[in-house]
Amino acid sequence: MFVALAPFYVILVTLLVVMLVVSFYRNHFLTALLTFAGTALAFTTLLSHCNCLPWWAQDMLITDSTTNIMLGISLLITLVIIITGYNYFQQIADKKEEYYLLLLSSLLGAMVMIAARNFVTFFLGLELLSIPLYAMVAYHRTKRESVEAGIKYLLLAGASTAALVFGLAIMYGASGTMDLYTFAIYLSQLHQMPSFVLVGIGLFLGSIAFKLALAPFHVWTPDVYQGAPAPVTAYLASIGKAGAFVFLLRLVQESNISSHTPIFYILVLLSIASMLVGNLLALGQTQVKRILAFSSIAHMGYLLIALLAGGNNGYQAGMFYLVVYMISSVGAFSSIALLSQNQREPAGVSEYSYLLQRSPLLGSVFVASVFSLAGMPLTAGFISKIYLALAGAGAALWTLVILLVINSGIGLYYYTRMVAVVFKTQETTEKVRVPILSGIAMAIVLLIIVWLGIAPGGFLYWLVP
Amino acid sequence: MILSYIILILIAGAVLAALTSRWQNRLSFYISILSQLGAFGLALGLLFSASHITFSQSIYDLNISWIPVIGANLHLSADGLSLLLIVFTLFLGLIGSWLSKNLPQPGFFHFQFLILLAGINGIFMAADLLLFFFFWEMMLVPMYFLMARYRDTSQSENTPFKFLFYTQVSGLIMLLGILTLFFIHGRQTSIYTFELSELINTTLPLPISLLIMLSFVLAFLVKLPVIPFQGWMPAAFSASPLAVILTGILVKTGAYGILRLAIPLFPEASVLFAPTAMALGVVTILYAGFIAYSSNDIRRIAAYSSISHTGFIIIGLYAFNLMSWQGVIYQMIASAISVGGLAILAESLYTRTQTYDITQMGGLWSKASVFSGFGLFISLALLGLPALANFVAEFLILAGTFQQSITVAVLASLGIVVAAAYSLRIVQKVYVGEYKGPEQISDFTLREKLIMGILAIVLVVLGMYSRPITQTTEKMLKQTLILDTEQPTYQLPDNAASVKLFSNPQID
Amino acid sequence: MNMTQPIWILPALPFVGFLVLALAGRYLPKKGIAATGIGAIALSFLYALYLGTAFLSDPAHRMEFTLWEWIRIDSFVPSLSLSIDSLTYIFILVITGVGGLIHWYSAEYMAEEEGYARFFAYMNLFVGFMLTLVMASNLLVLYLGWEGVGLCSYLLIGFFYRDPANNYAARKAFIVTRIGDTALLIGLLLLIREFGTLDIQTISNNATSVLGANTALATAVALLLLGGAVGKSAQLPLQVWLPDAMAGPSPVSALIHAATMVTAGVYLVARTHALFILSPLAMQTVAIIGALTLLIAAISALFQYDIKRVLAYSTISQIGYMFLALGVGAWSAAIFHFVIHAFFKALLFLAAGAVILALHHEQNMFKMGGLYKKLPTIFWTFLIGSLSLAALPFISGGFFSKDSIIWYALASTNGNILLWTLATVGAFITSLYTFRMIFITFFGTEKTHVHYIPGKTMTIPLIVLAILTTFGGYIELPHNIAHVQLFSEFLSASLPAVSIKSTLPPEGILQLVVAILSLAGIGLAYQLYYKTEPTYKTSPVRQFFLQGWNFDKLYDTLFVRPFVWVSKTNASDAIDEVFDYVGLQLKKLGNTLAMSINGQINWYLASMVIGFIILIVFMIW
Repeated sequence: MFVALAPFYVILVTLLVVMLVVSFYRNHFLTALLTFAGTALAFTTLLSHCNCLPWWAQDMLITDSTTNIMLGISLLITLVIIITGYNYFQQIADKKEEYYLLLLSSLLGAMVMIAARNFVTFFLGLELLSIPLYAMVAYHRTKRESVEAGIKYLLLAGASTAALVFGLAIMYGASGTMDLYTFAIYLSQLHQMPSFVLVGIGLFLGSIAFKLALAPFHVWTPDVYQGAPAPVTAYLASIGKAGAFVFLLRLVQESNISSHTPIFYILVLLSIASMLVGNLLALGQTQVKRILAFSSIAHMGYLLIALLAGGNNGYQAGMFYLVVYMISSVGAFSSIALLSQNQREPAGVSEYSYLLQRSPLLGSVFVASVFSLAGMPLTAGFISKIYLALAGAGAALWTLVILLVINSGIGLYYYTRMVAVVFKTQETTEKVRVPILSGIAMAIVLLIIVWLGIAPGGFLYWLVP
Repeated sequence: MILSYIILILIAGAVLAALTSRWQNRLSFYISILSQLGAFGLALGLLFSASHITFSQSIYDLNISWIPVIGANLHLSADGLSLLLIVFTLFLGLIGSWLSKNLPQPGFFHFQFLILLAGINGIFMAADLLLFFFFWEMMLVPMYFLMARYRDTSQSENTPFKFLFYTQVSGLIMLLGILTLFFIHGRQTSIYTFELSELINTTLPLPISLLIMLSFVLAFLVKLPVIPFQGWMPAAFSASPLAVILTGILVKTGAYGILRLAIPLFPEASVLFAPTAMALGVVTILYAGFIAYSSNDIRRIAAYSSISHTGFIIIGLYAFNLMSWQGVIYQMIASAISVGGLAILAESLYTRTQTYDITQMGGLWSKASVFSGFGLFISLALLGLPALANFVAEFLILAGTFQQSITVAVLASLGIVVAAAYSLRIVQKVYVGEYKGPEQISDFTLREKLIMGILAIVLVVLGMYSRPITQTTEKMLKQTLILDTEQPTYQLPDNAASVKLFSNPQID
Repeated sequence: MNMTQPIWILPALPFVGFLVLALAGRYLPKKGIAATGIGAIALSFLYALYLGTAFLSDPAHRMEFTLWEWIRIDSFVPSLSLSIDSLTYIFILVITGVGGLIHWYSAEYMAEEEGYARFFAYMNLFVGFMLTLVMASNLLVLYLGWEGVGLCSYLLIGFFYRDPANNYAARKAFIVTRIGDTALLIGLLLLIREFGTLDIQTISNNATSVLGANTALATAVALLLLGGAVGKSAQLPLQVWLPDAMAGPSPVSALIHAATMVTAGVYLVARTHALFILSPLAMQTVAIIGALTLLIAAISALFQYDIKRVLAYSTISQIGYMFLALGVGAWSAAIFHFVIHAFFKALLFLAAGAVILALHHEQNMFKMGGLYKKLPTIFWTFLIGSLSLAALPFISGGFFSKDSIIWYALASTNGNILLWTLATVGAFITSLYTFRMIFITFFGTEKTHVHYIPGKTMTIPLIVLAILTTFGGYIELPHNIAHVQLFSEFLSASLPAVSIKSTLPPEGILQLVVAILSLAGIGLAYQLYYKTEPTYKTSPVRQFFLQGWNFDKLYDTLFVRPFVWVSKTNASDAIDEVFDYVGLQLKKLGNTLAMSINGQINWYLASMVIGFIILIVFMIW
């Protein structure tokens, strides 16, 4: 069935078209426009069949509601990133256009990961996602920290990929299959897991933990987040994590993997470590992008609670929390992107002073996103945190849930530090010029965050499998 | 249905105020006042017409699905108590927004302020636990924004953080309690709902109900606040000139929560908890009173005197009898007004002398007699002078508590002496003695006179005539009390007379 | 018949006066202010007289009026209800009558001071609350008046607010009395618990059935009420505030700290006598407190140099007599002494005030002297007052009232020889310090020049009071002299008669002893302070008595210092600081962790490898 895979084809075609155009006629605006159009088209094709039955493409991809929802969100977020990134890259002297190529191919990778039902497709998608990202992170060729971040990311990701391949090899050796569901069946058959399978799964989990930046695989996050151009960071923080988590979620939902004691405890360990490390590290920071990096570590820690809770609640909580997290971080990073002038992003917390005065819109979006990350009421983050707690409580994961509470308390400290300065006022401030389209995009993000924070009923309803 | 209008009016007002302020600042002010008056009138009308209605099945309810996936409903309901508190909140709200008339960015202010009011009124109306929690947390946000925007620039930027931290963490712990209750009830009846009237019927083993009750009560104690959770309040009071009015409005929610949720949902556990609570109350009264005596920052005094008042509230709540509960409701209102008054004085003083330090002041009487007159009046209210509302509150609480535990009542009544000490200290330092302030100092403006006048009148009227309060709440309180007395372990140590007081007709 | 008399007008008039003066005072001329202030009191005095006609027919007459329900909690319904019986009526007359005179006097006395309107406003407010206190038919309403007069006393002591010392005195007065009031409040709580009501009549009628005679409960109730009484009436151990209260203007001292408010304690005990009778122990306590106080205060009075402090201590001492009378169950005697004392002590204070004004606010007696020529009217009236205070036989009202108390201290069934002795010694010292005061102030060489001769407005009240003082005594004569007991007969309706022992020494002899002693006191004073030019000497002993037996020091070290110390040490709220500290430590921990993010790629790689190793090792275990 063609239509089910339409988004993939559309993105692929757009990629080729853009490539051709760029190679003949360099024009930033045109390129951006094409990319935008392509992504938008992909999204519309998605709408056309969002509620069709699950469909398997040669045991390689699956397009069920999970896939469609995540694809939709990813595409929307990409649209926002394209719009808000346009002026950002306008500032760079030369070679703006390749960015869009990289973005598209990376996006395609992410989409494949989201839809993957086979370890091979997953791996394929992962590489397709990562390799362009190295370049994107280092896109500020003239900037030292940007290039440095790129290299760091490249090396570390390489290492984790190696681990992943090795892990997959072992798993294949043990189970004789790379198909997710067959592997799930294989797992369900053995009551006592042989240790080499454990090693394989361990390596597999480790490399996913790296992608999600779970402690102790988090070390790369702050430097890369800080070094990368703001739009790229937005992409990295949101879509970069979606695929990996969704695949993990599928695995856990389909198989009884988390019921195996060692694996269960590994996940608990990763979760607790990430929450604590992320929040504690963020306390002392003064650089907004670094703070957000650490907070993302903590958030992935929270997310694992949903994974461990399992069941319908766990699935919905996980999906919802992920979506909310993606939207919120895009909101935050995009406002950073829009705030940066002549290739310089506002770094320190103090540079966000008077923001509400300088640009009410950006100020509100920034505050809303940060509060949503902090899980404050009236924002999506609040509801998603409630849902997470609900899933956790339902599965009686008391340790994790109580840690969640304590950590969100600690987290408040640095979140409010970022917000408090925004409200400062002074007589004269130079206003921030926000391009109209970016303005609209940000306004939409703001609306979504608040809407999901007040009336999430409808959206949650989609998530019912 | 009608009840939802109270909130809708406020929200509509908020949006309009925000929009209109773009081109006409004054307009946004009037819109805000108008919408508040509208809501106020509506609530008042309901209060008079419907003091008989009972909670969670009144004809005024709004009950629609909110998050169907987890069975949470948007269920607003009200009874005498709710309506009384709503009316009173809106009254304070009007005073507050009148005071803040000349703030910069009125659009922002009125938007946040009205949202805040909507949130608090939501708390008083929520008949669905998750909804209650939603409102409970929601009001923090506008509150924080207001504090952050109109902060006292002499303080560090992030002072409101403390307030957020305390309330947020305790709130999330309450959430865990709510969820546990939700699941236990769900597994017993296989109806997964947050509906209060449903959850009340959950049968809980005592240890569990004790745990859940504590998770609820913690949040309420923090909000009140009771020692040792008081830390946020002084910080909040010094964070922003608005903070005091705001906290004055929101502090009551804690007591309401205990009365509406903690005690009805977990009667046995509450009775078990009572001695601890009373101990906390006594400690709070004295501890806070002592600090209030030795503080020089007038806002700090206001903060700790308010904390000291909440000591009485908590004692009264856990004395489990009509008298003390009526006293508690009285105290919520009286304390909010008197402390609010002190706060207003503090700001008026600051605008004139650029200091909150009472040791820097003195002899104000010779220059601004009206100001000092009201100042004296507020101090008298704080020390619980008869004929003012605070006295009725404290008297009823003590009388009620005395039925349960003489020791507690006696210890608590020491608080009255301490109150006299610290309130008269304010008079001593600020209004009398040789004048030492700026040469030119203006007396109260007309607006200040009117506002303080209104507060004073309310204090006197409620001090001399308690019917408006006692009658509206009597029904609800009696129901809760009966619900409570059914519990086998209701009887506290020495309460021989409490029964006598309410069963026997008056001796003749 | 006339149960529906609108008796609420009595307190209402002064309250209205207060409101007018408080709100419009600044716009009124001095005359208008005085007119309003005096008028309000005068009117309610006249109305009181009119109401009095009812009592001529039968003393047992009782009027009642309920304004509205104050509070309603189930069956507990304290309403704002007022009532008048003979006891109350006497108080009303004294409060409005003497009060009116004092207001009148003040019109001239305060003329030169700032805050003329404020003064009369406070005074009216006081009268209003005082009337509420005595007219209350419900202990909660009584408490309302009780705190109200306390407030007014606070405001008026600190009337000259520029001097912080005055306000400290005011604060002291308020807080010390508040301690007593708290005891009273707890007493009320206990009554609510036992009776379910605070209505005085209901309580009195059911006292025996509910509390039971001579039970611990009864004693507890009585003692708690007594706590309130001693606070207000400046009896041991709470007498310390009254001398300092002299910081207020003289009319205030006359009205509040001599004539009316300080006797509220006496009123309370008399009003709730039904409860006290139940507990002999409590009665004993009252008597002993009275006896001790009268002696201690009298001795202190002997060593003062400030004329107003002499009068203050004598007030404490005289109220001590009243308590003694109450304690031995001589109810009407106590009230009688209250009336006479109100006359002569008001007189003395006003006269003293006139002297002080004449000498340009000089209060030290040793700087006065030789004034009898310069201020004849003042001298004579002051002398008459002093004679009453010294209880000079037959020519002074004070004699009759005090004599009966001293007699009952022995004769009453609760009385005994010890009480009698203390009272008698007290009488001797009283006349001694009284005439010490007279001689030092009015005789000897003139030390300060008189720069102002008080006018009619001030002298007329003095004369009126002098007349009342002298002839007021004749309405109640000792039994053995003549059968004229109008006063106690009038009171018999509301207060029980005193029960007398069967066997007693002849009353005449004892009276003689007392009379001789008081004369001896005068004689001694003549020797010490008239013959020789008095000079003020100091010595540790004198200091001790001058400071009123150093009670202040004692309480300071026992209560005040500890309270302030605790308060100051925890000014920064230790608990709060703990929270802050924890936060700080967490932040430190974070910064330590942050060292792991050092930007070194090799370390990052290593950490990842370590991560994998941990993971796998953990899993295989």
